[in-house]
Amino acid sequence: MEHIRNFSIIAHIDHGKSTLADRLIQAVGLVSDRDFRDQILDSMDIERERGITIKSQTVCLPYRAADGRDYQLNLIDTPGHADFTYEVSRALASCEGVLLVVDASQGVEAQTLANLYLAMEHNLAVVPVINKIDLPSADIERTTKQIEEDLGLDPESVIAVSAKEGINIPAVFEAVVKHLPPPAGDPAAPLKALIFDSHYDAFRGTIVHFRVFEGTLAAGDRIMFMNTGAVHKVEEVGIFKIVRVKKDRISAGEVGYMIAGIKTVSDTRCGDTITLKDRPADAPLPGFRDAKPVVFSSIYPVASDDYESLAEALDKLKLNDASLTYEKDSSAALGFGFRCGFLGLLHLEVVQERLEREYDLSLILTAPSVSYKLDMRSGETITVDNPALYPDPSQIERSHEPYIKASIIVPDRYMGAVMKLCLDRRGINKGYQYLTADRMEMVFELPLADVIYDFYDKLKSVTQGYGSFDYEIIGYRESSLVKVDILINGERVDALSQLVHKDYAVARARHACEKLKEEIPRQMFKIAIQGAIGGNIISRETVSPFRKDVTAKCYGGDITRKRKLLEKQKKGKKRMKMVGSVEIPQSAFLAVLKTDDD
Amino acid sequence: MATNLPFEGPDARPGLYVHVPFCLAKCPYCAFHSVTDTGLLGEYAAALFSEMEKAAGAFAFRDFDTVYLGGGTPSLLPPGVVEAILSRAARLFGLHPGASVTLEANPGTVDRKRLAAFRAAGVNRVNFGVQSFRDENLRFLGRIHSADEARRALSAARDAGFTSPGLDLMYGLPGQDIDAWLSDLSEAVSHAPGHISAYILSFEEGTRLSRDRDAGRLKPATEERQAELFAATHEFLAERGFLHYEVSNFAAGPGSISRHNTKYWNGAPYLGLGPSAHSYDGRSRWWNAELPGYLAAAREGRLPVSGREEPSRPERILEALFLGLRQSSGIDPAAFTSAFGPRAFSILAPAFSRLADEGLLSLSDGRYRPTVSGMLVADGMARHLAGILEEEGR
Repeated sequence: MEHIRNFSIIAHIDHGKSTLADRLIQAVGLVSDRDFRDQILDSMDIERERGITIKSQTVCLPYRAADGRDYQLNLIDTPGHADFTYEVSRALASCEGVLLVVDASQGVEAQTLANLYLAMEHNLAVVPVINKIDLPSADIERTTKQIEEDLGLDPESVIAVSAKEGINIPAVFEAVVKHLPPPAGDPAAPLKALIFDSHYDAFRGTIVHFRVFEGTLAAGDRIMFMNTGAVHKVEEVGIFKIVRVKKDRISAGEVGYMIAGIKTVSDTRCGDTITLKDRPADAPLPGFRDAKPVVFSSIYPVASDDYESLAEALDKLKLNDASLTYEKDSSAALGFGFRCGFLGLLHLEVVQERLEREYDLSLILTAPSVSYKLDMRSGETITVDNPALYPDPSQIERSHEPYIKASIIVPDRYMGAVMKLCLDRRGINKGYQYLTADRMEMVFELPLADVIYDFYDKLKSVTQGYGSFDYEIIGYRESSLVKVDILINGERVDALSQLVHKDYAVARARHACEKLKEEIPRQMFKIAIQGAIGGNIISRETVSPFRKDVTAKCYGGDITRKRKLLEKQKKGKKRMKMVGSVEIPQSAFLAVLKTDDD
Repeated sequence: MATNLPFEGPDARPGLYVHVPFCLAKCPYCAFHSVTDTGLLGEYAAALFSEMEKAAGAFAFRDFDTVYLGGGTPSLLPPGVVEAILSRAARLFGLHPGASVTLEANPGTVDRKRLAAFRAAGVNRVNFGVQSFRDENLRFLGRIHSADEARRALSAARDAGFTSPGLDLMYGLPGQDIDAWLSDLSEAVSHAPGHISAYILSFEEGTRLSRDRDAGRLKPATEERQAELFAATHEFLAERGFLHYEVSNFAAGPGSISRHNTKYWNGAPYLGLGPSAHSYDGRSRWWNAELPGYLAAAREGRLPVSGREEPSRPERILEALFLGLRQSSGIDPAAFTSAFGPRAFSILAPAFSRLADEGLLSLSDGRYRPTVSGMLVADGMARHLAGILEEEGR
């Protein structure tokens, strides 16, 4: 156990976490330089493109240190986005230490801080690493100062590297060996292993990633998940060296995988404790919670024929994504689809992109909604995340909506802009502190609904890209909710309904009507677009009909060409949805979700 | 003022179209097939005669009651060639007694003597591509003739025995307002034409005008302006007794309607001869190669047909809709039902009613006829109706 180190790399998005991980993997020779693809750990296209890690992976790095001894360094990769805070916390709970990566030109940002707090909560040793020192804009001195002042870490322990150029990588290995403690635990004690991730393998089923704290897990053991109570027989255990390497057993202090005939990843819970059925531990490891979706949207195929394909695609995604939830949904306007739950807006976007890209589906998503709690006059409390299921308002006594605590780090010159943005979003300022002479952390409590609407984009634009943001959900608060409907030629388009705070109703309805007017092409008839709360019209736009839609000349007998032209024009409408007698393009549904570019 | 045209359909007498692909200059708005090398006229005429011989053997068309020489500029043909075409048509296919024989003429290519010769050759209807009586418009349109030449041609036609020549006009030119157009139209009417085709200037793909528009060198009339001009045209000509029987066509009386063009719109059969000419026998449509391929086919002793199609049922329905809705005669439920069955009509009936409620159609004498504003969206209505049929008919 003396020769094991379990560690994660944590960083603000884009500070080079995955690049550093790749460099470490490459340095120990786990993959040949020839086979090396940038960012080994980010295996999904979307992860590569966006430069974020969504699905964490683990790898065991064999390392011979300067002291001549061989070490086993277990690098536990973590997802890099605020939506996945819980998953990050479970990965960190499996470590004794972290490398905290800070971009030499960007400095400390909101997630750097949030990640450091998480690491501190888990009592982890922290080695600060300044990355991207090769960039012309790198400022090692200033970044070191931030690490000392903002983070309270020892400036002497800072390692300055360029993961991209492979500069100073050996120092990172030595720091892991020297400054991170080895794990502890008794291999003979009753088994306590923490599940920090799982992934789906088409041949073997669910591969569970775990860290053993006490005891030993071996092939053939009968295990139990302490929080769900499920029992399985272990078929295989092993460690990750990019590929799975089978072992007889995994003991206290080690990190590995388990195959146990578990069909889908949803049958495992991140954060659950594995113990032996016949010799259970007295209590599970602390910190387990069910990661619940907080953002909801309905997904419909543009072509109703694609419903089955969408169902299959979701089933497949779900194999590897326990936090995605979905159930059948149907809309008068859009036909059959699915009501889906996500951990956050980014999770939603990733799922949408994967469905469209990997499964070649063309989709319409409804406006993302949070989950509201409604106290009914009847005395019962119901939960509603779908405007279509919003009950008769006269039966609602009170409504409640989820709030978050947001930490925003900005250069102080943007303080006013951020303050205005958050207050406009019904935010409550809970304080601020200067991190350095000109950078500050501002803390707000905000309704989650306001954050999922367009908060990220707005924050970026008001801080010219310098603002960074992290959040956690803190519970429900009383709200004043209305349902805004959109009517097209007097017909309610259910898929365009939104639940919003009453203060936003008129603005939201107006916005939706304006966007629809821009997107719905002129047609044979006048189209009235209205926003309404119940029977009360609160906004209105009109799409005027075509005045001229005919070719002037039709003689010489070439009927074929004219007919083909009409057919081509008609085909252009195939991507439209008929709502009553009005053709609405897919883009119109999407445009309603977008905010103005101001 | 609604005109009732007999529904012709595939059983009607056939028409003969002869395409003459020669022009002295290519107009910048025209997308029809034409060449300016008139040196090929002789070879063209020989090829046409040989095509006539072969077509008479290959196709069943007989007893044409309309002949239309279009182009291009058919008035460039020597009258003797026109005479030879018509006599061959009579000999090989037969011409019905009282057949209308139309020649399209460019005012810059004719005088009284030449027109008289065409008349003697058998032409009994002449239609001038006047386009405008304003020289600045003619220059913009790249026409080879002046307004005065147009006036002289019209008067020469009358002298040659064509009592009510037809004329083509264009409007909706960049910057043209209603007054400017109506004064142009007013002069046209003063020449007492039997027929007026008034086309809104359109920007056909591949023409110089469409390139000029794309490059921002000229600004087309807005849709609103075009609609105003269209309504004004209708009103002006209707007040003067003209029948607005098709989107762009006006007749001084029922006898002046272009019987030939009406065949295209009503599904009647027609044989097209000459380069790029189109034919329809009531079932199939086919078309000839353009001039080089056309001449090559003649040299090789074969028909110059370069393509053929048999429209499917949905295609035939779309044709019936978009062609029917171009005409004041509109769509006859009885004829539509007998052609496409009662189910198709019953699916469309509510949509027809809706279009009527919107003021785009009117139901009179048992037919759905486009109103003036309806004519201007005939294509849109046809797509709309065909779309409904496609959705419901699944």
